[in-house]
Amino acid sequence: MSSVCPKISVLTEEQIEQVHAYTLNLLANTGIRVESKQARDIFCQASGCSSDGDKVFIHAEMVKQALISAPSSIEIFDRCGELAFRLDSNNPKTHFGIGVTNLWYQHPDTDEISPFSRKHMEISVRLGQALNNCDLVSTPGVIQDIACDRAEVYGTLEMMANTIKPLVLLVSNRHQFKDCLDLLERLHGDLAARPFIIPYFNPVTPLVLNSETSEKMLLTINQGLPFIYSSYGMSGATAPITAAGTLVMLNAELLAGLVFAQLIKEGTPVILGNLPAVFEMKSMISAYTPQTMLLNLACAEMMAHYHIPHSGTSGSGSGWGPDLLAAGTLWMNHLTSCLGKVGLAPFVGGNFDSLVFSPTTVIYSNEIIRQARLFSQGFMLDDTCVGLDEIQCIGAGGSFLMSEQTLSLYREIHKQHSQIWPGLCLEKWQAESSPQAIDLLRHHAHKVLSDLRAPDDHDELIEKGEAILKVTIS
Amino acid sequence: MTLDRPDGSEGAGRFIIEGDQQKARQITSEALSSGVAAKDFLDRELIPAMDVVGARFKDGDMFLPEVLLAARAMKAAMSVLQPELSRVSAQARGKVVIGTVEGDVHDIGKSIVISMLEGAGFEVIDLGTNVTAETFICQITEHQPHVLCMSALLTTTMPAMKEVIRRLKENQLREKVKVIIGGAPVTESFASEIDSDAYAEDAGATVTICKRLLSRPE
Repeated sequence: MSSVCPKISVLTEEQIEQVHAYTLNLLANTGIRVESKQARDIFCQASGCSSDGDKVFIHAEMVKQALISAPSSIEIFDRCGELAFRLDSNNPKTHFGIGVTNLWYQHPDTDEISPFSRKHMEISVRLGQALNNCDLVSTPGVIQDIACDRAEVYGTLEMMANTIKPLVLLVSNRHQFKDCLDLLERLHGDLAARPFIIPYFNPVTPLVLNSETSEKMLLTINQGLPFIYSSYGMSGATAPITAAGTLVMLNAELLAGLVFAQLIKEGTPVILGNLPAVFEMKSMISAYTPQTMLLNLACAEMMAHYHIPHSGTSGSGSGWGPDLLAAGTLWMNHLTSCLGKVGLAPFVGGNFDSLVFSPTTVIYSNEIIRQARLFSQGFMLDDTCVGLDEIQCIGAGGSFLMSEQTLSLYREIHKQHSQIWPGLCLEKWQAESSPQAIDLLRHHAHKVLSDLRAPDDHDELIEKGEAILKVTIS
Repeated sequence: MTLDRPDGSEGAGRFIIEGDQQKARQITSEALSSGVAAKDFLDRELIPAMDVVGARFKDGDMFLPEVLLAARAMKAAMSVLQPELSRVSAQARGKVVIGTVEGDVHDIGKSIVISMLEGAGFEVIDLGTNVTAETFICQITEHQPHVLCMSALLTTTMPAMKEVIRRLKENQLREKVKVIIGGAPVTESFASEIDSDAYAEDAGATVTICKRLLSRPE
């Protein structure tokens, strides 16, 4: 008995070693700029590290030690304490989430754009809860109808109250980040015991560990939480224009972050990855291109080689809504992620370069993920599955419609067809007034959104959370 | 527009547009040596060339690196003209102070804006990133620019722009300087809400807006 398992592999073992060697060269000779004195001191107190002003040079032995001490797999729980999934670098499987930090919300029926509000946060998070192929929720938007100095804390409260799925937490303000962790801990108790909160941090590309990020990392590590450390580079602008240069430089940033985390506390669980966008030289926007997807897979393979759990890009960003543009990128991302070694794809749902959250795009994406997962499952190849006896029995010119295998499997196989669009032949499509695929998608989305439900403890959490915030945030 | 002079000789404008800084510098030097007035040369050859660059970029006919090369060539030519311009008190198109606001360390967008402004003939004073309201006020008091440009890449640092404008008013500077804001999360409505003069969606728009804000009635 054998299983046909389709896979994509981008780098050979030799190329992985080559990328690693270039990366070590960069870290040792170019170094990274570390803005915070506290962070620089942490680096410089370790042997194998040298500095020059705010530049820190990390040598191979430090990287090696960090790779040894960081866990190769991380268990992520839901809010109720049940194991949601395991991010295992030795056996990577892709887990998808919706996101991220959009400033606008695209109305599912009309595509009208409005500022992302607290109500939109509630809807978006409940949508993440409802969709079967959404494994986690990543701060879908930045709330605009609450003052900036408290919007992120209220957003965190809405996230916690409207789903029990794991949460990837993106909070840019360091003070609000601490407020968010305090709030979550007061509502939930010990966050580290069965972690369902995964904070997300970026260095500033190229090669800067900024103060905000290092401070938030310290806070998170001391609280015992796993976190995602992800580089966002734009090839041609903040990163080299070549795929190879971008891969190496972003890899150096990731390993620098890993070293820093392990110096703070050995054994800290870290998830590494990057968002390798390309800078479009006419419109000056960042874009996801085939190079992005290649680098996403290459980075995932580097992390698998390092035995470090991975978080990559999610294909969100290029569309203008639930359109052909978005669909192409989403398909390319979701399928290649499932076929490669991608661990997390946490940010599905953004359009216009992650500025506009579109529930309809998310619902379409959920269907793409479902099909991509079916594809990546492959199929069984053995005597039973081939069924030579049955083929011989039915013979030339026969029909398999009523065969034993068909009767036992047709319902299962039917699940491979779209769950959004019916199969219409030309005549039937014309008879039904030539419906447009987008209209049926909107109809489906409308139904999904109408059925959204809050977790049972929603009201209790909101009430308790608001009471805490009333006291702590004046 | 014709890139060469009426006599058929190659003008500096051609080399500005092509981003050839050596040639641009050389032809500018030759022009000064032959007695052409610096101000005339600036107005007739260099600034029109950068206007062409701006227009082509806006129309999608040029790539950003080509624009930055053109701006660098313009700067090279300007370095030849500058001593003469200073001597005859000729002014740049205007003076701009620019910085990324407090709490924000992103600067690639700001750097592009600076290159394009300098290329368009503006004098630019770059305050860098993570600039406090206090520093903005001190630098505006010292340099007395025509325009203040502020940039933010994070939603959480946008309020710092509002604080700078509040401090400008407090220090009776608001009426003396035009304020343009920009950056990925910044919007037209936010610009209006905090009482800035304009929102620039990208570097090219910043140049256009600076020209518009500083244009005087004939």
